Amino acid sequence: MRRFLMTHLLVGLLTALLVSPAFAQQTRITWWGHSNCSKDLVAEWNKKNPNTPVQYDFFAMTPYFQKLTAALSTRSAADMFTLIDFLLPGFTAKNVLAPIRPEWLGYKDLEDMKKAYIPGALDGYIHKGKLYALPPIASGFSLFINTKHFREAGLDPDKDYPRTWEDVGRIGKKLVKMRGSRMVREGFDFAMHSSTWTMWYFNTTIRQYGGEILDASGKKCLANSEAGVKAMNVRARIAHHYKASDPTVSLGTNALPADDLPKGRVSMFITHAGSVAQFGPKVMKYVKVVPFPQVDPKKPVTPIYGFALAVNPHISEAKQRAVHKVLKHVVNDSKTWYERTSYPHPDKNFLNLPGMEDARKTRYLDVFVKDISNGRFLQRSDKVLELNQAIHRAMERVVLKKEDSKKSLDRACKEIDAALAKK
Amino acid sequence: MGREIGVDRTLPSKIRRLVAGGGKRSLHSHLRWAGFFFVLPALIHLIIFKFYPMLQAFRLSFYRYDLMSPPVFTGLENYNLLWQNPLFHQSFWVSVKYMFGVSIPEWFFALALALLLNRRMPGRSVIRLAYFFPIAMSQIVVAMVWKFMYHPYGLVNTILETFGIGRINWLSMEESALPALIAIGIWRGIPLFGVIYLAGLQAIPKEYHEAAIIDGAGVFQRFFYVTIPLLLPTITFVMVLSLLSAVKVFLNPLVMTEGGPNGTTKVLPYFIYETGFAFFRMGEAAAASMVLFVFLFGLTLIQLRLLRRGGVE
Repeated sequence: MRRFLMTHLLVGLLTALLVSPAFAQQTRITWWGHSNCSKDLVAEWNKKNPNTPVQYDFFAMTPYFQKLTAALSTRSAADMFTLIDFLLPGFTAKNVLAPIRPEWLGYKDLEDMKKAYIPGALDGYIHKGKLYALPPIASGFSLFINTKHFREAGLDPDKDYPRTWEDVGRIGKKLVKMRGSRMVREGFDFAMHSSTWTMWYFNTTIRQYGGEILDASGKKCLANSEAGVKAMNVRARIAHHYKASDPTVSLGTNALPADDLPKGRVSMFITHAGSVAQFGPKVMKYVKVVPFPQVDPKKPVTPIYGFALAVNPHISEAKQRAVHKVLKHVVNDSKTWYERTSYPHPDKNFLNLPGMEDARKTRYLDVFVKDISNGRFLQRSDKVLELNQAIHRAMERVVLKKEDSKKSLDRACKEIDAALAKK
Repeated sequence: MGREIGVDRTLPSKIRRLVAGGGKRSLHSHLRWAGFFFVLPALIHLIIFKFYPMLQAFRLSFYRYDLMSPPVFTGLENYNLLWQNPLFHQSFWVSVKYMFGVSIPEWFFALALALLLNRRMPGRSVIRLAYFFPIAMSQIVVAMVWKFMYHPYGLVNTILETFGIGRINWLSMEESALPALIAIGIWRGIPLFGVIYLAGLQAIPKEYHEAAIIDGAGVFQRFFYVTIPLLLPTITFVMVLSLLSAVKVFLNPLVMTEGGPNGTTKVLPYFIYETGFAFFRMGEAAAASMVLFVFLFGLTLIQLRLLRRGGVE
């Protein structure tokens, strides 16, 4: 009898739970990412939307993208996830991303949506006319200079900052500090720690010279063209001709790529807006941000990249719609993103938002946004990581071994063509 | 077999029957099954986590697979791609250089260390403990610590500067990056192989040395005509084990150089990792791991042959 009662009680409880409105309507959304800012936005969302709670899982960046790829292959990825722009071609080619629906975000269509963003800010996430990820931040590169070092060298940081690569070499040479034959402070340095950073610089410089890494079909390497050789020579000249840098002394790592600048080991360094938050106000008192150096300042090209939010195509349309609501909540909070990360928002009117006046004066927002609006994303290819590695090795041969730029890029192109030929 | 065992008549009849093989199964057969059940968990672990993945990797080496699309059978294409890939050849030779660069000094330094520690001297236990310290440290910690020590402004250069030797950019220059990693491999391997040598030395009966002393043999004669021949199985074991462990190095190049500069520290395991988990060409990575497997298997066969020659069965 007791067992009979207990069984019926349990069945009754379960039935009540299943048919209760709260249980029936609850749609749990999972999100994988690598930003602490997202965590806070999720907490805020969950407070306001108890029926569509978001579960945010935080991962360290490098293993995260490997985990994501493996999960997408086994259809076990989260409902929404963060990805970096240059992985998009590989993912869209395999149909593992759902298109973002502008109409679900309150826009008429993609063209209408583009108008609300900084020109070109969405280009890196568009494939065959469809948008596949939504950026909550816009990230480009600008030149950070140490004003103390400038003044020490008799330079005016407001007037004498470099505009062109030749300026970088010429001014960098003046900023170098030697102790005997040993360079104890570099005038300028390119980051050496990562092949992606190498490609951001090289891809931009080759474009500044009017070239491209690959041909229009994306099947043939053009990095060894005249423009490519000139772009590679930019790096070689700064190290060997101007002797403004010693490319082997950087302590930069993937976690802290710009660490040499706040430590005073380098006077000029190219980095992203996020470095403003990383350095902190104490360091930023003597650091000034100026536009990314150019071959011809009248025809500016800068590198841009971004982390964006994508949707799992294997979830139901109803759930995709719910995910879009979360996306809207997350990306629309441009002020929170800016305050937490120092990255500008790709919103066209971002600079005119209330409360931005101070940041424009003290945190170089205008410089960053200007560089972003001149920006172009990394070469689109599903073999981008192999391209990056081949160019990085070419750069190492030129900068560290003083190999001829053309010869080194010929070898890189051979490696790239071999990688592109693979299915 | 069970019937051959003498049966103690004081034992209970059931056990007597069992030992004598009178039941359905003999004691020997029971023991055999019991032994099998004892090793069963380890066997299951080996099958699931070693043999099955190995077989899968072998199978995968004949497929094109990028994790996201279904695998496509391509026959020997992955092996052909590897053969045509100069980066694979570079990685293979980097691995060979690293393997011999680490192993050969280890054989001699570890033996020297063992001979030193085999002697009676004050504080021997403390010295033994200190020498064993590198092997007890986590490999990732070792890699991080050495990365900073090798930095142009790091400890190694600071020490060298006191001897008037200029600053060397150890991990950034092609000429010095691999030797720098080899030096760490040697430093980490010596204690382990030193301990193995020490065990071998302590297994040599003292009587042989005493007899050699009575016969008037000097220190070197005793070393070359008594110690070395009797230590030969241990020496062979150390030689092959050090080669096998060196060729599998992965973490130090990953943490310290990421295979650079210009691929000069990209050992074969790193090449496999990068091909599989950065470029997502799992089939090609599996084919490269098969090449590594065949290479290691060849080394193991040599080990077995040498061990037999050394008188060890």
